Amino acid sequence: MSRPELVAPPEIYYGDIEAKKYTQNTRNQQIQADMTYRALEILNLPPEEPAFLLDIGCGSGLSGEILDEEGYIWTGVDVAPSMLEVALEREVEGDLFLQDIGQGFGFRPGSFDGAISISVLQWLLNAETSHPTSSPPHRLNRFFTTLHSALRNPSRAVFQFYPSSDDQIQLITSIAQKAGFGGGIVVDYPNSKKAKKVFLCLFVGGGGSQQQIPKGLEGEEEEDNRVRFERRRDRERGKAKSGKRGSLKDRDWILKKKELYRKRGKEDVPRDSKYTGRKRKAVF
Amino acid sequence: MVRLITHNLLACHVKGCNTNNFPLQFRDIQIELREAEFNPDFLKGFMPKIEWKALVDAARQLGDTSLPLEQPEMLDDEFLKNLHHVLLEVKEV
Ligand SMILES: C[S@@+](CC[C@H](N)C(=O)[O-])C[C@H]1O[C@@H](n2cnc3c(N)ncnc32)[C@H](O)[C@@H]1O
Repeated sequence: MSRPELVAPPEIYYGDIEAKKYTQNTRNQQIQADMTYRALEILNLPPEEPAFLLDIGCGSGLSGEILDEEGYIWTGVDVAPSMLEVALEREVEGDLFLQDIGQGFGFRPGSFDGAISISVLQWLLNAETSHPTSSPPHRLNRFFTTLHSALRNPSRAVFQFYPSSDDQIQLITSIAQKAGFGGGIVVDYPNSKKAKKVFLCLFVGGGGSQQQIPKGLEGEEEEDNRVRFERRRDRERGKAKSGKRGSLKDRDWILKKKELYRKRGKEDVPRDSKYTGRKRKAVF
Repeated sequence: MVRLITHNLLACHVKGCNTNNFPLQFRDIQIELREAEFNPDFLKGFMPKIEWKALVDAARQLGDTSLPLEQPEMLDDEFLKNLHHVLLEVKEV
């Protein structure tokens, strides 16, 4: 099967049907969540300090939901209307923008304390968009230059992405450097076919010793699962203690949210029934 | 659907648009209120990034006059609560 970015432009590939399929697939939810947690780890924000983040290619909010959970305030941009539609339906907390990142950002300098981007960058390596403007290097350049200025100094931007060759990695890092970023590539589980993950970790300012490229995770996949699982469990334990809301959108959580929306005068809040919050089979 | 926190950070970046490119003007605006968790530390950290006049103007256009015209030096709780509401709970739709 070929990679999605080779099939069609993003806003077409992620049409209504694919956007729902992508978002409802529980395995996919898990993978995107794990990579978002890992990106946050690499982002290495000062603990206990609330931050304002940019989610680049936020899609239907699978990465953004993790930002919500972790208490960050965020803004997301994506080029696919159907994906953003699903994000709205899922009531993510972040602000959402319809925007092609290949045309650059319009944020004031120093707006964000950091940025994450999960499974997006490979799309910029493809010339194909439905409104052909310019070549991948040109789009990457505009993207990195405007991103650099939108981030505060010092800060980081962390991208998980799927490069298809070393040349692509080379192209991306050299353009990012020209835009003023420091940093480089972090590879987790480089020897595992299945678990290998590539992250681009970019720095704004901070030079020298303060900003060091973190090490990739090593070891085998099985161990990897255990480690991740324990990390996740610790997090959940911590959450229970701090009284923050858990990751599962269970029945109580849904009822609470619905109540809140009714209080705010929102119309069309579905009524509560015995089906509320039940697991559904995915229907396409 | 944006909150004023994001509106305040956005400038028009259409090529060739350099004058009057900030703040973006509202058109056919409707607002929605949405409760958000109050976090004084976040607000204090965010204060230096705010274009104060633009924020106050935007809030007034949306009917909220709780913010002082000058950015205050003393950040008391009442002020922070108002700022919280304006930045994070008012949504333009
Ligand atoms: C695999 S999805 C990832 C979505 C989300 N980050 C997640 O973790 O679930 C890739 C997303 O990148 C978006 N994308 C691709 N090219 C883009 C571009 N040029 N500008 C903005 N978004 C883009 C797609 O629309 C899609 O929503």
